[in-house]
Amino acid sequence: MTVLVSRLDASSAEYGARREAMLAKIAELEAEHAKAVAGGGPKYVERHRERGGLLPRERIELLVDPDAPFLELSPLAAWGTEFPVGASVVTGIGVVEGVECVITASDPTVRGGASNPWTLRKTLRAAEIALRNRMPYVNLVESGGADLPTQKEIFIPGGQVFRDLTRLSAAGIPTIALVFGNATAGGAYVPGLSDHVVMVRERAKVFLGGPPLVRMATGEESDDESLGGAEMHARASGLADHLAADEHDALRIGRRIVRRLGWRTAGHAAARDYPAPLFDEDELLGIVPEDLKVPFDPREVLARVVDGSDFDEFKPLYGPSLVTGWASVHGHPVGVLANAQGVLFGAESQKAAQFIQLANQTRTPLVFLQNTTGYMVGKEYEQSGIVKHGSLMINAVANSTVPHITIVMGASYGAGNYGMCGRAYDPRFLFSWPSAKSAVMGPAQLAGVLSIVGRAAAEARGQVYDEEADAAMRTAVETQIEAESAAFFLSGRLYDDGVIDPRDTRTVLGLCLSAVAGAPDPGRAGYGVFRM
Amino acid sequence: MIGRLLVANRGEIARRVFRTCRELGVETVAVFSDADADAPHVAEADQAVRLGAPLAYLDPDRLVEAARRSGADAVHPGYGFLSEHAGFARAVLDAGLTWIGPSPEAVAAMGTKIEAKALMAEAGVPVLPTIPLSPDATPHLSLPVLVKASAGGGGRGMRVVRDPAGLAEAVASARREALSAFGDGTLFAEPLQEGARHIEVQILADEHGTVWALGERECSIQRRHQKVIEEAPSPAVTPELRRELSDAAIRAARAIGYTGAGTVEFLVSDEGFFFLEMNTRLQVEHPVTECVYGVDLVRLQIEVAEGARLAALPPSPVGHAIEARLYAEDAEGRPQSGVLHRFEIPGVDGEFGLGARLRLDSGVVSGGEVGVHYDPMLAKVVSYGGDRAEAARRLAHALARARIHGLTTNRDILVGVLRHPDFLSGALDTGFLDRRPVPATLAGPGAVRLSALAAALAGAAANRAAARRDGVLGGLPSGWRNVPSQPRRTAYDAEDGGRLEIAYRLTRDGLRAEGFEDVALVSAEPGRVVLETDGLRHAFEVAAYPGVVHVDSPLGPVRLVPVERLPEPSARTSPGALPAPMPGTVLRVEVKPGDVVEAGQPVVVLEAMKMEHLIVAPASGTVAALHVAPGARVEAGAPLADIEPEREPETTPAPKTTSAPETPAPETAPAAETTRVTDGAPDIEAYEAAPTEAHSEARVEPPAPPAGTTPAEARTEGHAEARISAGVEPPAPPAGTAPALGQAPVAAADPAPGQAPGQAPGQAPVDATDPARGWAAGQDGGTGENPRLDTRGDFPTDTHAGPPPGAGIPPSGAVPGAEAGSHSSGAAPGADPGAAPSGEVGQR
Repeated sequence: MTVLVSRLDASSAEYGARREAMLAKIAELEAEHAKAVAGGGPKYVERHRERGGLLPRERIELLVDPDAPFLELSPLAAWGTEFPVGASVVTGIGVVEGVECVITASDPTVRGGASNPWTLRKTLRAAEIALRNRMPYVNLVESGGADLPTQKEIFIPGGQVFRDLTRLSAAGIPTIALVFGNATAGGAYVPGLSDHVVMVRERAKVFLGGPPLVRMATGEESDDESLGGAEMHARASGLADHLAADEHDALRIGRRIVRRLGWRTAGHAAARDYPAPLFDEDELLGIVPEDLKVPFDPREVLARVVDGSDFDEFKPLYGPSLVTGWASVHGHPVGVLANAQGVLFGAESQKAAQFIQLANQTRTPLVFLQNTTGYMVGKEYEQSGIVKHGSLMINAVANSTVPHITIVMGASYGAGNYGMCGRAYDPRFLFSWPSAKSAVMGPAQLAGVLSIVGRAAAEARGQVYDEEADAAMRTAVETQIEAESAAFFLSGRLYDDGVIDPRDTRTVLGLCLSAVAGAPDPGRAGYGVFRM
Repeated sequence: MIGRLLVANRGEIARRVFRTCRELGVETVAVFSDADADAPHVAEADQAVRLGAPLAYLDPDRLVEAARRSGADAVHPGYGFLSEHAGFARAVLDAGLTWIGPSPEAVAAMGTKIEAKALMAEAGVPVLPTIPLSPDATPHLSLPVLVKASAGGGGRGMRVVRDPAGLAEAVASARREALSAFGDGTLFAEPLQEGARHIEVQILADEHGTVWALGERECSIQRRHQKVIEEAPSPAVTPELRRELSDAAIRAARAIGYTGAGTVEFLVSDEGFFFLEMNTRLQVEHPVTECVYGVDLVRLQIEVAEGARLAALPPSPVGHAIEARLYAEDAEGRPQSGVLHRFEIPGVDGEFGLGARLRLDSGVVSGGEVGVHYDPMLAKVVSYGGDRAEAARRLAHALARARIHGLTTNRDILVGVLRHPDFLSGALDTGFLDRRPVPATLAGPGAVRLSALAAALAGAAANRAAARRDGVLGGLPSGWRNVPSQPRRTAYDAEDGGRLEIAYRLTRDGLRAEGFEDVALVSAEPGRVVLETDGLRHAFEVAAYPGVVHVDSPLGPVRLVPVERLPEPSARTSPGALPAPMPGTVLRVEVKPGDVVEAGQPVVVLEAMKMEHLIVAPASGTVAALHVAPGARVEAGAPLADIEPEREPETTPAPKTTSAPETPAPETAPAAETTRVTDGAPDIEAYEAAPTEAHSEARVEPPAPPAGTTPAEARTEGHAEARISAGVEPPAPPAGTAPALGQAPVAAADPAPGQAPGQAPGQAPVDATDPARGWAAGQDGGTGENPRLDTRGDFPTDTHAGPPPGAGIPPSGAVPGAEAGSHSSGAAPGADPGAAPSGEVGQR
């Protein structure tokens, strides 16, 4: 047991400035979240309420266990796109009758709950989380189908929604659909392919083709209720297993279904008793510098995140730019890899590869705390094999079979993003802090590189390089890259599972570690641990 | 010497007698009805004898047989039940056993009012003039007067007359009632004494001619004519008056050769004091006398029965004692039944004990069940102090801080009285509580809201504790959200019927609760929440039970019913909603919107499975809506009609259906289930001519009797009323009927037995001149809810504010056979949807 010591001076001006900057970012984040919560705006919310409908988050609140935590996933989906923040669907992890479930709820106040390309990606991500972590999957359905103008982005890949549902079921993961309203055309296959289906009387509407389409197709006159009403499905088609009197009743029945699943998670049980960190989580606000070029000690973060601020460091003297070690979070043992100086050298890469192998040997989940500018460049490093060493680390990360959870605290540039288990390396969960940035390189460097390349090209052609244009180009590129590497932007494109308040890091990790424990351990792959 | 004593009673008085027996080294025998099999008095006794049906405590033969079987050599009757039943006393003596009480002759001597008064007048005891009322002549009286039945008791045959115009009718109705109830229509009148106090003198007499008067008890705090707070000495009695009262009481005892413990009751007014009656047994409120005189009255009763001699002079009184009776009843006096989850009075230093500063005589224990059969008195709490103020403060505090969970009680009202300026100044009269001087609850609206918040936060803590136990994200912050969208909402129904919505979030920065902006959360555990408001910390003790949460704090006890977050649809239907019990076709609709219907009146006839099913109104009221027409196909649970109830029903009976071909036979009427016997906890002492009386009342809200209802019909609907009159030997019950014991005495005691079960409709009307009319109406709604066989001894109606006859007796027609439902299910074999009234479709 090694209790971390904090050197953070909460009374310093530097701390104060960092804290203020972070609080400003958090305020921005909350404002963006509020947009998602507002759904389609007061007018559509009011109209929905007048019809007696609950809002998606109200449905979720009634579905989950009282006073249990709920982690909303991808709340910023579609941020920075033409579609409203949140992508007209709410997804998350909540506890229903003591069972951790993945829950999705379409938001009928946002363009009728129609799916746009971001809705699709957000939904697919939720299903992926359910599948990989083996969590029962509960859909609260009320969607007007696809956003037709963007159908080209939705129609073909959208089939995966239904494929996922039945594959979840095939994998033994229960799927439950509570149908509150429209689930028509393709949407009809959500209840169609779910294990358990509840429909709300006089509200649910589930059919392949509505009355106009039927008349066009066959000339038959029909109405909504006879084609797809809840009563009809409960009595005639058998598509509904349960007929709910109203929304509350549907949620009650949904909870009852989950209770009867008798669901038991397969993973390790966490310790029940564990100490809180010794240091105040509030101080996480004052750690990250406004300028990401300035490194910070990730041990200050760990001291405020891990149980008892207790961290046993591995190879502290070797490759000190990367901190590795063992800890636990909310009783779950973890191995931690955290960037300390930004740059990854050969030693850091070898240390990481070895540590990842050790974690695989003991089947310990890994937490990556990213703040990296990438692998070191330069003659000396190339000659000493930085590509080989970086490959070593990326290889280890890519083939590690223990669950990974990544937090982007600050910078995530270059192949450091890969080696530190960026999105492409399939961490089970990935969250960003509000000031984090991810890109192939820093905006200034990228603009500089473009400038150098341009100058070289001009010179090769014997032209005079237009310095004025270069300056303008550099500014424009820097601005664009800056914007496109920001956490909100990347979260909007589903490159993380959400942007979180740094003070929530421990809670989010605890919830995710419990989720990843839901899936059985696949076992480790080949070879003994290579000493690096 | 007595070796083994049987107590022919139950509850706290049985435990009280056992306590003294243990001290004396006398073995104890309890008797118990089926309903009392798990009662504390049974567990405490050395032996216990099962008597059978709930009313078996009223069966002298069984009791004597129980004494014989258990080898007891003495019988203590307690109070109530057969304690003033001369026939029982005689039977005990005839069986060769010792009777702990006066001779049967002494009991009988107090039998009728006119004779008892004459006897007392002869002995020089002051009595009010007796004005005879012959059946033929209408006398000229100086009004107001109180008309009484000579054979009366329990307020029957009693009328207050203020207006000459009402006299004839009052006399006529009183006579009818007296005839019906006692078989004796003899009436007389007394000048009405208003604003009088009820004061009684404890006496104790041995077989050797010594008679003690152990001072007086003040019993003026009464609700609905039953005593609730008693004290000794009376704040209104001067030493001189005390001497006069004591002398009169001793004369009264000597006049009838009295032995043992007894009580002589007087009415004390500005005009003097007048003999009311004599209670020939131990009194409910005897502990206050014990406290002040330092005697054990039960011990003295036993010793006197063994032939011991009393000292020449009684001990002298020291200090002041006050007794409060805790009843399981709501603010309207409706008896409550159910599980008493917790019963703890802080500071008690003696159970049934002498020398205690705070004494508890309780018939119940935590976790016990309070049934519907007997009087709902839970316990007596007695405080003793150097003076009245000290005793009142101690008692009020102990009651206010008591943890009484599971049932609504009169505790708050008791505390309110004990802290009321008029009570503290000693300005008491029997009408004190009728003026509603204290609020029904100690906790004001603000305290209730704060308590509801505490309940919600304790609930959250309990939920998190359960999550920790189950290992499901238990260590994470309560109600954590990364994207907060709304507060956590929960709701409670308060006792006044109001709904309290609590919306809160536990954030990094502490509690955020809507409407509680000034409230900070100091700590929250499942059982205890500390809140700070305006710089003041308040600790709330929270105890959650299925369906009820109790919050105790210095702000006052609060009982809350949690509102289900996701109730089953069937539970959400309005009280008057009438859902179809099974799928079927509507054959006929018997009412139209706006019709006034009686409970049990057919509303819709449903044809299902080739049977006609009668759907009857669950409660009396108005047809607010009709949802079906003849020919309509309905599913189980489909709404047929809405009946707007007449008044707020306490319970919502399930809709009844009756298969058309038959009506429930009388013997299947649920009388046995719905009768309640009083163990005499309500004082029998105020009893007039009928020393023992019991009646049972049907449980369900009593609507007005439909015109023309015959008693026989009423009986089929489940009413049962039983009463035992003084000196009438209840015969053995007819075999084979469950409620037989309840009904048997009826037939025997009542000259018009056919009327008993439903209580003759003729008795219900209340005399227009009766000042207690308002009470009667309240009582009507009250006792009808919770029928109990009530020995109703404590009708001190001689205080001239007596209830009208028939008050408290529910009119007939209230119980549309509860088992009609089972008939219908029997009649619809395979009508499975009835099992899923939520309207949900089962999986196939």
